[in-house]
Amino acid sequence: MLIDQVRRALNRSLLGKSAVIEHVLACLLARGHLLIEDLPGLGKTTLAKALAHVLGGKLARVQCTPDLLPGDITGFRVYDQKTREFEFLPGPVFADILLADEINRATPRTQSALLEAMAERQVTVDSIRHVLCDTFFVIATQNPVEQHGTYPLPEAQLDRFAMKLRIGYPDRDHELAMLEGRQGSEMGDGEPHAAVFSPGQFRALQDRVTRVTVGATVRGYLVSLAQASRTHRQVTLGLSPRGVLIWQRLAQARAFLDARDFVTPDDVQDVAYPVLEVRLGVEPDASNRVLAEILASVPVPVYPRA
Amino acid sequence: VSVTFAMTALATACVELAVAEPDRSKVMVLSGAAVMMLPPSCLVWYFRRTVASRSTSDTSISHCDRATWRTGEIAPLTVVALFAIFAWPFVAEAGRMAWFGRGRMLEVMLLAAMRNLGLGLAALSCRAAFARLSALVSLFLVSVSSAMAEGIVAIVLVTLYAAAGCQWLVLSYWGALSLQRSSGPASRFPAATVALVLIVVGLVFAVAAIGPTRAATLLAGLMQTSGGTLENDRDARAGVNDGDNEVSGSEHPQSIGFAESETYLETDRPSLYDAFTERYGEPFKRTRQERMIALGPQEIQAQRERPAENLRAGREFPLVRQKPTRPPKRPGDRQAKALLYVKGPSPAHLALVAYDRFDGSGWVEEPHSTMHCPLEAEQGSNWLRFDRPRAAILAGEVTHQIKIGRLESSPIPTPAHLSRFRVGSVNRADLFDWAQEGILKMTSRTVPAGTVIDTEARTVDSRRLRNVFFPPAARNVPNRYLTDSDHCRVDEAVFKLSNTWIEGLPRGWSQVEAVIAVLRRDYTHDRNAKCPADCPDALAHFLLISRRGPDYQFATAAAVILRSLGYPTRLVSGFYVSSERHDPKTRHTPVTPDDLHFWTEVLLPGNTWVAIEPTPGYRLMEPPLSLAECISSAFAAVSLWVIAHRAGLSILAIGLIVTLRLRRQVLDLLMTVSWYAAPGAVWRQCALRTLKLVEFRARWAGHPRPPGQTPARWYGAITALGDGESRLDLERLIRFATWAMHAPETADTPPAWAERDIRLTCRRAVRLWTTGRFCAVVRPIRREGNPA
Repeated sequence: MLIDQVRRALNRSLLGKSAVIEHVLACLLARGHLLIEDLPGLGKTTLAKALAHVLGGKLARVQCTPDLLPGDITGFRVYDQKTREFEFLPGPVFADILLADEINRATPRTQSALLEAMAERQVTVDSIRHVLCDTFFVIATQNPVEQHGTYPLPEAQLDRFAMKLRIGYPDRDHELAMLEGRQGSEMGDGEPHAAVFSPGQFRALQDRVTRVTVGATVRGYLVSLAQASRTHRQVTLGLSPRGVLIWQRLAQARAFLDARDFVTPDDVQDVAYPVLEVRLGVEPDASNRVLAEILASVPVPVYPRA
Repeated sequence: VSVTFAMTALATACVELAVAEPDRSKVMVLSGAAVMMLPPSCLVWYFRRTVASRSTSDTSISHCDRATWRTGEIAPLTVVALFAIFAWPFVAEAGRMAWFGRGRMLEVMLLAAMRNLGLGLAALSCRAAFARLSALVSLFLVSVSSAMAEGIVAIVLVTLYAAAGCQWLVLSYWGALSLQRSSGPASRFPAATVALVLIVVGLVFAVAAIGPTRAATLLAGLMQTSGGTLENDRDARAGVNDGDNEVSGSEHPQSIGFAESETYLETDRPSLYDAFTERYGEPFKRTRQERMIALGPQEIQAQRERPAENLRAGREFPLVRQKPTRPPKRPGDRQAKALLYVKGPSPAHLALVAYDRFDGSGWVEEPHSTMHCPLEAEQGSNWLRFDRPRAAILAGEVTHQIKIGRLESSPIPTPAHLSRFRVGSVNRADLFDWAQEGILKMTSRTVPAGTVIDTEARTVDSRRLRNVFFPPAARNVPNRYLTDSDHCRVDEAVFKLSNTWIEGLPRGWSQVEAVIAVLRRDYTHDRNAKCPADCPDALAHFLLISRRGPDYQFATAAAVILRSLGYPTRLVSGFYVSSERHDPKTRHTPVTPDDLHFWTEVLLPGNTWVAIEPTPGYRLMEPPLSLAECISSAFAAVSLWVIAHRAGLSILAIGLIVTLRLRRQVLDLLMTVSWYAAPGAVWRQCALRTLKLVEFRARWAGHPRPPGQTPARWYGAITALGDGESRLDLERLIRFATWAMHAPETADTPPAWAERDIRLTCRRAVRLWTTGRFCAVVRPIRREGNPA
């Protein structure tokens, strides 16, 4: 199966992070965007490059700095002296996969330009609408440690990301394997993978994900979880309806990855942490405990109601 | 702390003021309260010093230090000490009752107990919870005692208390404010608090609804009301006016309830003899032979005058009587008022008349006793005490309150073996005398209706009677109590019959018991039975022919037979206080003419009359049981019952123990059997049911799945420890169940699985994942801690 090939390829380039890769795939299939909050050098770019390769798409990378302008992302029009016309030079958003490094270093203005592109899959430059690629996928990263001179993303913009992930350090065995595998090759991202998908194939997969069945009990479970997140005492901002929609889509993607055509509570719980972490207003250090409490407070539908 | 302490001190002073005797000076009372405050104040000082030495700051107790103090464990000794000082007034009261014979009111005891509790809590008020409790107790004390105490001192104390209370509220509010800065734990549903409140409310309702009236009345008595609960109790003796049944005796002496009325009225109501006629019918009039004699003029004069009525001794009670005729009841008649009302233990025999001579057909009332009635008045009360040695056969004391209703008689209906008594407010011993021996009477007048007679009498211990030695020939006994051949001709057949009853028994109480036992067993009590009018010997007819009769026949038979065996006896008539008539609402037993009764008394060698009860259906009063006796008799009864049902009980006990011990296995077995019986019609049901059974087993093994966990995650930790095959089965089962639950109805079985295989997997899971297996698998997990 195609998805298995993708999985294998990604696992080859990012060793020992199969759980993260599952989340990334789910996010991709659900047509959501990804926020990775991690330290430098843990493989964010590697992951993005590998994704771009296997999807057969183009990768663009933007290193966000305070002096980055919206036009640097969306593209701008220049006057062509030969043709005497304004010509549009497309920015990096016109790639299939956009890696926005350290997004919290860009000014809010630039951030919002990028986020409009993420939400609408289009950019408007000088009143001209430019539609983005159909499988447009953003991987944004931010550094959790360094907060000096940053513009933290506001909640409204965080909500546009489907999930927030942490890659984390690899364990010892995988780190050893990584060293062994790169002994002969030069510093870089290793050999590129062959493209798995032909154009349009991935879009078809995304359509199939939307057709995965979500039963009434699971829908009820999702809504109960959302309500629990809104009533929890230590959550200042509960789950929005848009968040619930994305959660359902991610659970569908998860079920699809598991080769099922229906969603189970396990799928919902699998993607719960990354989905909730990005959009719930919780103290960062209490986050895991609060999420666990929310999940524990809602009974899982295991048996039909008597 | 100091404000709380001051509040408790003020409350203590208020309480002391409220419960003090009226003649004590207020200064004395207040200084007593101050002395009482000394030990707690020492304790407070000590605690404060201890806490201050613990804290780093040299000022008074800092806030964080109080916080640690408040979160510390409460020592069990503290709780025990608090309980002890709370219970002390009640214990002391019991001692006082035993020593002096009279105690204080329950309210006073309760106030003293609460005061002690408040002082104890105030002494420990360094702890915030105790301080709060102490303030609450002091509020209770002040509100109760302010209702009881009066005078300017009380007003001043309450005002001071109000000021201290305001201060306390302000301080505790500020304390709470500064505490709330730290964020508390996540709020939970206060299940424990709600349950506690529900339990308390339920208890209060239960006590009010079904609890004993006494408890409810006591509780109601503690409530402060503005007067009147809109309740109308016809037997009320307190509150606003007396109840309807307690109309004072200005109109009718019979209309008085159980009130100790001073109104003595004379009425021409029926006397005891009219009651006899009503109950037992009229005696046959002897047809007298008439003859004419000549009289002198003086004798003619005497004939014309009203003949004197003989109300003293010498009246007769013939055994041959007409059948009692009752007047037909008219509709609308109210039930007749009782002759007597008796409060106290029942059954009881209240003797009124004793008969000694029996002439074969009737009894003759015993002449008035010439013995001195050894009465003396008690100092300072209306009680009169008998000054006579206590017989060895007598056991514990019982108290009765007898209110004279319609009865008009000079003998006083009292239980036998009186030790002291009180008739209304008559406190002169010379107004009472023996009517017949053992039967008390008021000299030269009847006891007026409405009089309440309090009695304390000893009971007869039937076990001790068996040790009484009866000399072979009764000496020093008046002949009239024994078979008097001049008057009484006992039938030979009766004599023989009675001898067969006591065959083989030694002389003594066992013979008496044998006679009574035969009479009670072989003869039938029939109120309406009568012997024919021409019967020459009513006793022989009763004993030999009819074998049924009214109670006087039984009493006569017992008396005569015992006399023929050489035991001095007499017949006694009076009232039988039946326990069946006891009215639990008014807590007394009405005695009506229907309760007239005859019984027999035996004279013991020590010149003590002891009642025996030959009539079936009537019982003698039993001695009151002490607590130890109650417990031991209950224990004996329970042991007997247990021994009688030992087989069934032991089977039951073993069954219970086994079931309790193996409850999980039993439940498991039941559920497994039911699973095998009905594993589910379609595979979806089957998978879900199987998972349910397996989950129950995991729960019994001590590893229940939290509701927020999915089975796959929760049992994943377990299956990781299982061996290959069983692990696979559980995983598959969970997968099937999830599939069954969430896959759309249109979807068929999971891919590559036939329904038959799914059922097979379910069966294997049920067989493999038993409770024991879960236990074995879970044990290492539990040792390490929660796998989640």
